[in-house]
Amino acid sequence: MTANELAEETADDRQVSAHPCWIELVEKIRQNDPDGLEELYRVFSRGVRYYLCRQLGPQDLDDRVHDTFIVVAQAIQRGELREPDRLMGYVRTIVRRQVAAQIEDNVLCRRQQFDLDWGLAVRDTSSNPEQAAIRQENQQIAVRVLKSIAPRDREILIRFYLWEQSAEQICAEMALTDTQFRLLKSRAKARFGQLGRRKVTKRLVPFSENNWREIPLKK
Amino acid sequence: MLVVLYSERNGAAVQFADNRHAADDVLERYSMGRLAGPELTEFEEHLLVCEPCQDRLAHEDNIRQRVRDAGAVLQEAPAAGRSRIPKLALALGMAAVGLVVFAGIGWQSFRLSATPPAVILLQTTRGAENPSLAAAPAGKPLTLVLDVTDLQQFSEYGLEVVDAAGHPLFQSAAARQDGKLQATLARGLAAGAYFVRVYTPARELLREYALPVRGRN
Repeated sequence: MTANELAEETADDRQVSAHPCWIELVEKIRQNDPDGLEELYRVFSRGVRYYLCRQLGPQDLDDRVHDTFIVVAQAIQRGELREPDRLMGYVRTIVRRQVAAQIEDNVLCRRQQFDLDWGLAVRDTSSNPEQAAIRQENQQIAVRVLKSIAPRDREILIRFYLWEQSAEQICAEMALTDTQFRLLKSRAKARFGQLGRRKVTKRLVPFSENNWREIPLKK
Repeated sequence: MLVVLYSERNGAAVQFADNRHAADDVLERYSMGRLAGPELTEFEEHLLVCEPCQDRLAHEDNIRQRVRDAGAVLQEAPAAGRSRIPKLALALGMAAVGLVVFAGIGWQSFRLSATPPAVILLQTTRGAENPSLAAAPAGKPLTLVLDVTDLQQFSEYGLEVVDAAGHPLFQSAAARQDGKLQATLARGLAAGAYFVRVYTPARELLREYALPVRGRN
């Protein structure tokens, strides 16, 4: 077993974040106990942050996470959570509402911008030539990696992720059993990820003064 | 070991490998937006408190995105390499294209002179990068209006339009009027991503605006 596999296995052995008894936690928050609020934050902060970031991107993330916790804590204190053991579901509902409200705001804002009669409003997006170049380079690495894996593995990945074919269709058209498909897909994903990491690591040249070379300035 | 847990609450059935984490199949379907109903509810609740599943989902999202990007490029490549055109046909074709381009340039300059420019307001707002936002029309004269109210004041500013790779395509100077700069690109721009840069008279970069240009669908 390699060190990486060992590390991955150890990571997978991590427990689902050790969460306390929801009923006790809700009771503490109701009583405005700082320990309860701290515990709520400890248990949910990473998950809420992750969810919001995945749905809305990293902009204003801290503010959004903070807003979510305020809404959850205040709602609990007002006694709106009737089944304390359903705390996870309640937090999820609040986070989903936050996401929906933000998307609605974006749509409204865009519509208002279009309504202005002096022309089109074009937002200053964060991408610049450097970021575009990085994105292009990453894409080139991914193309090289995809080309370098076995043709059957590549076909499975393309059918599954790009064409979004169902497992049944892939099995039928590639003459595979369900088990074969699962094994091949799993192997192809692992190989793709592994080669991608290797190619990216290769490009990270360690810093040394010898890495620098003088580029003559154009007149 | 794969254990299927049935929730008595709502009849949901999410597969949890080893009784702790969501199975690969569930992660894949969630990543592709195919998880629905009680399964979705149960998985998202689990995701809120499970760090390993958050990491695995991030990895799954990454693989999916990379394969889609790379797969799309690979699919285009064979199609481009497949054409086998005989030399004579190629020569005739080139001549025809030349004529069409010549005629097209004449028509285009006639058409452009008659087309009123589209007015594009470039402004800085805080928010996510969103490719679905408005874009300038391709191949039409453009009047760029840049909001520079909060920029350092100069009598004149340098303006530059660069393509996605940073190559300058258009340079000009504009005076500030009512907190705005204005410049017209009489020939317009082809579809693509561009950036408009504002410089001080001493050529120090003050600001850069993204300018997506799209053709008609």
